[in-house]
Amino acid sequence: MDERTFERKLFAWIDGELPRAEAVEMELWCLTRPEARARVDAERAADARIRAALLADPAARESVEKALAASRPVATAATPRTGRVLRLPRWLPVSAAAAVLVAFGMWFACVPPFECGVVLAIEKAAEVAEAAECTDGEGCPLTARMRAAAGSLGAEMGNPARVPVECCPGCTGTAYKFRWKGADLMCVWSPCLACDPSFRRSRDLGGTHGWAANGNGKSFAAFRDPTTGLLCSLVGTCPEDTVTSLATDLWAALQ
Amino acid sequence: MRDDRGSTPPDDDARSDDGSSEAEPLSRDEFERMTVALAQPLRATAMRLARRPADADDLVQDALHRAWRSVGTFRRGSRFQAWIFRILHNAFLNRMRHESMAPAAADPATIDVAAPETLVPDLRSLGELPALADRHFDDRVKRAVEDLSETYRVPFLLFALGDLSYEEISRTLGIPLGTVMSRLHRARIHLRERLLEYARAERVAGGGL
Repeated sequence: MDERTFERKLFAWIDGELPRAEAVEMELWCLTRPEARARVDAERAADARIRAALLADPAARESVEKALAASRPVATAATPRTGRVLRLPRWLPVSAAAAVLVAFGMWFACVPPFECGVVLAIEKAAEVAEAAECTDGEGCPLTARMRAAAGSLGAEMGNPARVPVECCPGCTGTAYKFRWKGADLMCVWSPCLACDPSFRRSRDLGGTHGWAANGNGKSFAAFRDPTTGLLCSLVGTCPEDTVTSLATDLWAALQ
Repeated sequence: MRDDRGSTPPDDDARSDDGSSEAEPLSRDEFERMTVALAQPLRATAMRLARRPADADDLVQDALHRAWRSVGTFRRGSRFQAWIFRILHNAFLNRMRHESMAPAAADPATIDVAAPETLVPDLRSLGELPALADRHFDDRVKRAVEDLSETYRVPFLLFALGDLSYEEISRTLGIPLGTVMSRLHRARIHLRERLLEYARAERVAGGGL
């Protein structure tokens, strides 16, 4: 032990983060050096003073309570009616409903067919054998990231596998199989973003733009991962809301 | 090792002592109770990260929204504080990315190689810091923390306000344990330098010392 070592380890020791043997060494050093002991006491007191200064925030509780209130599910309590009641003509609701139906029909006719390239590719990926290996192996950065995210969510991951995505020539995706919250899922990462609109319903997947759909007994949810720029699509034989919720969790875990 | 923080990863901690299953997610009431208990350090950290009260409120709201949405990923028995501060940090990074708020430039090469001895504050003055009770001192501390570059400010806030252990900071920021130790050391030395400058100026002016 010398002055330089003492100085280097001082804060870690004060913080109780040094291994036992090194902490004992620091303690012994201070025993014979009153100035070192005084320094330790002064640092501890300065730490406490700085922390107290930083914590002095009278608006803290209010800010957090407001944030909590904002994140609460919206209550649907009926509000009492006040003031004059506006009476609408009887034909108006019927006409509005008819207009909505016509608009929906026109929109439906304009949307590309559900069986688009990405969805077909996802279904094809679902048939890939569990044992199939990603040629990049564990060295694949996407695999490492996906495993870490899925692991933090308690998912059981299968082997990743490269699969062709047929929405455009030469486009390849990476598929992962896993079991999560009782649902068997397939997750396909694809660089092809051109097919995004083929997911009919656009949804807010918790902070990111997402898409959700169902068909052929399967539910789909997708989001664009801002880090990689890839489209991440989840498919499972479970309700659409479940897949959407899982996609939201996965999105959050990947951040 | 310090007992109150614990150095084991949260996932390895013991089962919850309230008898709840580890797989059972927190209820809304539990989540709110635990969060309100951390109101001071959460808001204080958000303030020093975002620097403006309105941005800090947005950051807290964003973090708590994310936390509640991902509450299923929290395991009973693990440290709620470490979990929620990690989410706060991620929310902060996300906001920086979206708002193109690039972190203040820091050159670790120039800062990390400096010999610690050259930065040791004057011991006598340091001892006077805790007694410095003038009303501007808190503001000086806050400003000094905000002036730290992101490289040092974030681990310092996670440690000083989040009460995260070195190991937890290392995992949250994805940096080696030795780097956490070095950055915390630098951050505190820098803070003390700044505050001592203030203390000396006050003394010359016949201030609070």
